[in-house]
Amino acid sequence: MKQFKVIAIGGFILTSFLCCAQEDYAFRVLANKGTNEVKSGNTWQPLKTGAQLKTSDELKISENASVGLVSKSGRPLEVREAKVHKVVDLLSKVGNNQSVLNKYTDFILSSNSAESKKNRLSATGAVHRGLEDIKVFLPEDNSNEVFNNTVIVSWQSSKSSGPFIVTVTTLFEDELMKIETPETKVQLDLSDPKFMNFPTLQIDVKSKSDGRSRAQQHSIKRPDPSRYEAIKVELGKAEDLKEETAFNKYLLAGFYEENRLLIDAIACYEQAIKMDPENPTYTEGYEEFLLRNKLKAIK
Amino acid sequence: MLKFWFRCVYVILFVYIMMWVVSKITDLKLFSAFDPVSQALAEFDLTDYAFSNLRPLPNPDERIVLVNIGHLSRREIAEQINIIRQFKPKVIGIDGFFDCEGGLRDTVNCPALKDPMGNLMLEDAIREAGNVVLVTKLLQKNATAKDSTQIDVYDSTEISDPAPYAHNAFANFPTNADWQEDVKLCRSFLPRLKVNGKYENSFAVELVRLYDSTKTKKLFGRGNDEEIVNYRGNIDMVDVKLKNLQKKNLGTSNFRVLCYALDIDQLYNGNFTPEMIKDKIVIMGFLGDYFGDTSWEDKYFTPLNKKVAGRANPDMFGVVVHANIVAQILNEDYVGTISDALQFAIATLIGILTVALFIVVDEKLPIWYDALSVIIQVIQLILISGLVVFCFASYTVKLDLSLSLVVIALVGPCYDILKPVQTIIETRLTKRTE
Repeated sequence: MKQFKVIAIGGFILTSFLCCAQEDYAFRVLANKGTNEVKSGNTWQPLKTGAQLKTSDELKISENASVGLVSKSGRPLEVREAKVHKVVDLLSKVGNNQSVLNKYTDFILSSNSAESKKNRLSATGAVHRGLEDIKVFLPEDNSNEVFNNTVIVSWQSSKSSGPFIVTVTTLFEDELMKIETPETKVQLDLSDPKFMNFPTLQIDVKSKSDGRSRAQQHSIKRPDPSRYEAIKVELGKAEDLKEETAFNKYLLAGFYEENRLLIDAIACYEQAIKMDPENPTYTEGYEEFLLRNKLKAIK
Repeated sequence: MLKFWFRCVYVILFVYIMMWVVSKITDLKLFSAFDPVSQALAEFDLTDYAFSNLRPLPNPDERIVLVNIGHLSRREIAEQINIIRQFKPKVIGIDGFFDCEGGLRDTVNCPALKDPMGNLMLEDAIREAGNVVLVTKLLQKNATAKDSTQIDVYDSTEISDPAPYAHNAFANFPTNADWQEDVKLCRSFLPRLKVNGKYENSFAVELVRLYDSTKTKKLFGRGNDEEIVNYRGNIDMVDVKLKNLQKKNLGTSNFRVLCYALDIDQLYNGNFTPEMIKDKIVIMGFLGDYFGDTSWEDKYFTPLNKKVAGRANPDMFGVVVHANIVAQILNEDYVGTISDALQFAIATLIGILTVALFIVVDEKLPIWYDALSVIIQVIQLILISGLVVFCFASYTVKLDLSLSLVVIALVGPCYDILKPVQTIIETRLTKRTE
């Protein structure tokens, strides 16, 4: 009997401990705009819609981003301020139910002050236009590393029909190559001696016909030696993909995308389509790749 | 005493006659060109204050997931459906038409026909999912449209091409708009409507019926042809790149999170948790090209708008209006109303009591009558307006006391007009008696 009591008490304590140790969530993510992150434990991870946030977590809101949360008790909260927020602090902001009278007072006072302090010159009678007439399918962030020597620069133009001028320059805008083309893509060979001594290159695309339509300038760079070697080793394992077929190029594109070598992935997709232009797998895969990586705007 | 109350009643009768005369004059629209104020306030409702500012923050609904379709092509939407159905939602609603509007089936008027493979992919995705609700549009045939007596009679529907493989429900809202691109305000919805003798459910109602039919039975059990939408929230994200503006509250509505929402790239990238979709109601629709897009396409004015009257930006995409109705039905969170007869009875009672008060003041304090009568009217207007807002904010009952407000406003002038007439009548009657 005594032994049974000990087991029962021990079991109860263990269950209680496990229940307490398994921390419950404080918020769920309802909507997520921008590249926000959550720190759960020691690592920062991209925030997913539907994810649970625990009281010990931290939430990093990026610039021009926002997150819609719902607390466990069902209270909504929108977080917009670009900084690191502690979830426990956010939790303290929800749940203070206000009476209709309080809300009415708040509304009257806040709306009055907001109106009186308004900047009257916030709007202009103009629209933003300019650099986005030509959209080059090259990454604008740090994913601009190139592993191979073949770079295919392609673009989309909303207004100009060509011809286009592609200029490759150094970081100091010294011109290395100028290509005129009626098409919307050019192929560059980085093994060309002109490019050998420059680890970073800038690419500029503009329309020759009107001279005004141009794209945002993009830069491409070689990976540092240690990363280059690491990729080379990984790629060496893919013996089966050495044969030059469209399908192999398609698979290689996936490998490069996984390693954030988007320019190499673009080259692979372009080569796959060139080898087998009738196959919709490659064209659709390429389109999805461009959209997925925000290299192309959704129409 | 009877004479006293009789006098009150005939003043009120005169008030109603005046109201009828004024309504007939305004029907002629003689003053509309000089009346910008009433034009600006035409859509204003006292309860809008309660909706947008005074109500306690409504709880978001985790049973609903909104997915943005932006301006994706049919084949891309097919891919979205294929992604969503992997996570086993209970029902998928698509708030978009996949047909050729007006029956113009040529590639100039209907460019989507250029992509037969995309159409086939969409049809296939809808058939495979098996639980898709597509929207239809209630229309009138030419003969019905020409008949001015049949204003709200619908005998035809516009359907999407893949309609045979899905459930179909109408997406029309009762608004003041003449056509889809018009400025539109939505306060209510029609749960179902008879089309050619057969009941058709509205889009939101059909989604709830497939999710939990007991909820729709309760809705139909209320027996209302039209229900007021009890708005619970919005998907209102702001995209402002200027840092000094980012701290400001630039949204168009105050309650900005209604339910789960996924943008186009978030769905493609799998940037969500699978349980978020499992057994939920997924509604796919246009939420802008991206979250924060300021597009006015399929966007409505609702009572959640921060600006309750005058010129403002529309605040809610049509798909979010549907989601609000779904949430309302699921939560059985209906807005109570009072009948027209009760409105009339309340207005008459308030009017009679006001006249009685005026008569007492006029007889006891004749010098103060003018000042006190105005003060009484102002106090009554404030109290009734406050009562309307309070009842809505606290008990979700819409007390439509606009008739009472008009009666109170007209009682003073009518009483003053009738006073000399009454004196003349009484003098003549007295002389005749002598």
